[in-house]
Amino acid sequence: MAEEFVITGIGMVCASGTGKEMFWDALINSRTGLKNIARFDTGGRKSHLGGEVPDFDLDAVFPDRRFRRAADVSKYCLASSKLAIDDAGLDPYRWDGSKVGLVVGVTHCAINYSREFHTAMVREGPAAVSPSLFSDSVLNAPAGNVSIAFNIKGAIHTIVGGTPAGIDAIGFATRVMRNSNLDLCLVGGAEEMDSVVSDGYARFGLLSPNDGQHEGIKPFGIRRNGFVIGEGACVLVIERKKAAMERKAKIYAEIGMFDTAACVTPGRFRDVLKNIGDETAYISTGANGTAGDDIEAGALQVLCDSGHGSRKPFIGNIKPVTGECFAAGSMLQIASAAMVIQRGIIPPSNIQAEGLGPKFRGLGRFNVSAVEMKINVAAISSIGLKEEGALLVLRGLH
Amino acid sequence: MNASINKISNGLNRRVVVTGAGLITALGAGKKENLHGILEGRNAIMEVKSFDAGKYRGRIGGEIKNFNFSRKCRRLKPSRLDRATKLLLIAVDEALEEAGFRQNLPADTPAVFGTTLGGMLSGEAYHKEIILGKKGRPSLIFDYPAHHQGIHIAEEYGLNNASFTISNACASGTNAIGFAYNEIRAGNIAIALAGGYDTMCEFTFAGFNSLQAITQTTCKPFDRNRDGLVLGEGVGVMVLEEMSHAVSRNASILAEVIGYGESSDAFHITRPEPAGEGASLAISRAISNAGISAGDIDYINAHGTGTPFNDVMESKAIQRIFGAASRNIPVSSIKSMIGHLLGGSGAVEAIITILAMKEGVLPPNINYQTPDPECNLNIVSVPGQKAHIRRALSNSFGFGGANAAIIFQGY
Repeated sequence: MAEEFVITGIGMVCASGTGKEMFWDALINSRTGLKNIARFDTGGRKSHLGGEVPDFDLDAVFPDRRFRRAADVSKYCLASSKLAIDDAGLDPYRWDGSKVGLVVGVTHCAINYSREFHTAMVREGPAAVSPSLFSDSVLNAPAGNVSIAFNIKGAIHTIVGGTPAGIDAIGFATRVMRNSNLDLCLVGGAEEMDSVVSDGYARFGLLSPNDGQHEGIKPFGIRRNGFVIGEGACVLVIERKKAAMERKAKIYAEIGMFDTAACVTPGRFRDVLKNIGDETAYISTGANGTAGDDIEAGALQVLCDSGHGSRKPFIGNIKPVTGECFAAGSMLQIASAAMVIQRGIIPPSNIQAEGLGPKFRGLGRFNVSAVEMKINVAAISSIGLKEEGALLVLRGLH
Repeated sequence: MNASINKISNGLNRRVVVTGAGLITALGAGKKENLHGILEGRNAIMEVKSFDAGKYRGRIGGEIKNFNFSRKCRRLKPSRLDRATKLLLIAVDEALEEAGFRQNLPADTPAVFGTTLGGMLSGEAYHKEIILGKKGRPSLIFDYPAHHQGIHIAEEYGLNNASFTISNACASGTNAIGFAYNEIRAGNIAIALAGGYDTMCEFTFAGFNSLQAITQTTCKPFDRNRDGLVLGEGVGVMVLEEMSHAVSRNASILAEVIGYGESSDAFHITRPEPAGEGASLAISRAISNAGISAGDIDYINAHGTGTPFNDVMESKAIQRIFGAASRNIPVSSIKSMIGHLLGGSGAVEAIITILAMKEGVLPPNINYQTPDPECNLNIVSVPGQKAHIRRALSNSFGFGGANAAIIFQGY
């Protein structure tokens, strides 16, 4: 029997604001955080919308001057970690750091620092480059900074991936914990918006509006035309179930089965989805208005076929609220599903507004408004732009 | 990793062996060429040629020379691939060939790779085009993200299992092998492909130069006059396999992996924790995981970057674990010959360690002339020294505080 792990703390920073209550409030009220991008000039571009983190103030959450020069992606990760640790009722200054691990999923990370460093290097030469931009541009800088801030000495990992990287980070972290004597692990996803990334996706025709029509993120939508870029971070505290129960921690959900694949095919997640059985499930989909929506729908079909009537799964999506936040996005999905299980409220699906594509209608229930209902099982899926994908199941403890 | 392997089938700890290995470094392509270079203590470091290194303080590096990618790809288009993926393909081919899996690698074999830069050479070309006012060719983004190389390997070899990409700076390669080892040991999988890679690119070269970490002379780990590291490029890939699985198919076994440990410094984003506490925790965890005592280690392949900070820290960590014996156990860093391969270093050094064990020869720490009282270790300075190495430890420590240590045993 595999050892069981539970989620005991959640913290995040995204387009809905700072902290889980702002995130939840935005989800429940379908309040989008997508606005015209202020961070860089979108004049001359087709895409103007973005899910930027509003009014972010690291000092308000975690005042520590050591990190003032860190890239925003690190700052988001630091704030989310502090919020998650507090939420779990833990004290990093009292824990045995050698028994605490950290796994952070990233996609592009601090590409703005890479861009600035590189611009100085190309335009002005070696003497003009900033060493601090370099050291904070590396993919593992957010994890490094979080470990320094919170005395995490047990293990530290950065998992690089596309949109599923947050789910992969959870799967990776549970394996690291099984193979070690770590008591707990912070698991995060972090991402920062940048013009280079935005332009790159636009060049590939992946950014809305790739058809010149209405700009917006329309998961599974009949008029879906690419994604809207977002940013942020989300960190979870995971612990061994027995230890969490012993210390009477608030438990959001138990971590169930996990699967990840380099290329998702229909039926790929069959074994995991079968495990859900005939319970009514909440599915946090990763659909973002690209070709991945079709692949995801194909992969989820097994579950949808098995649920009929009142057992049809609820299909949810956070991306119209937060934008596509890549590694941070799939971690936000996991957080949303854990909160659905813990709170017994299913947020609006956020999908129907723009008109559901006919082939997606049979996937499950697309509720227009929040539904009060105790859900005991949730699945979180995400398909990356290379058709790689990951799936995670969460369960309630009742 | 598929659903079924989420379950640990029983509590027994399985034994894990290496049944294939592939290498490409500045010393050449393949294990034979690399071993030959290591045995004679060949210096593969010279002035960097792939970009104008003349404008930098430190100008030397361990580049792979005359690399022509003529491999026929089954599913990938070579013109769209970054140099990192091309190098990776060459090393994976060698590892699979040796393991007897070139044609029949099971599709559920996970590929776990460590890298710091991914396809940064493509990335910097893309950035440069944009900086110079051009549009930036989308083809340059195709293999830029650091997880794409792993996905491309999965695509080429028809793998559809987890292709985790770990980016823990210079510990990445060892972390990848350690993770795969743990997964096999736990009974979750029978075979895994694991390793690390990185390429020489100007972005990193400028970065390490800006940190004044690159030597202007030679890389001389643990020497009193050491003054910095040398960057290199390369790939190391292993096929790891559950021992009875390997034995049942009569696979040739290069070595056994018997222990792995990791930790984090929680100290500074670029500097190591000076007392070596974090590094020694990783080493002690590896020893404990192996179920041996420190006295059972016959050779230490050091992280040994040649920077003033790292080598003192690592010496202290070794002294903490090995006590007075630390003055006797042979220690060397092959970075003196091939440079620091960042995400590739741990995997390449692990493979060189295994080859040295099989050959019964200690890899030399070339350029070592003046002992440093702060690094009071038995540094292997002369090439070709014979030794019976039953068990060897390989250390990797990275930016951001990631520490990893792995122990191999002769089979």
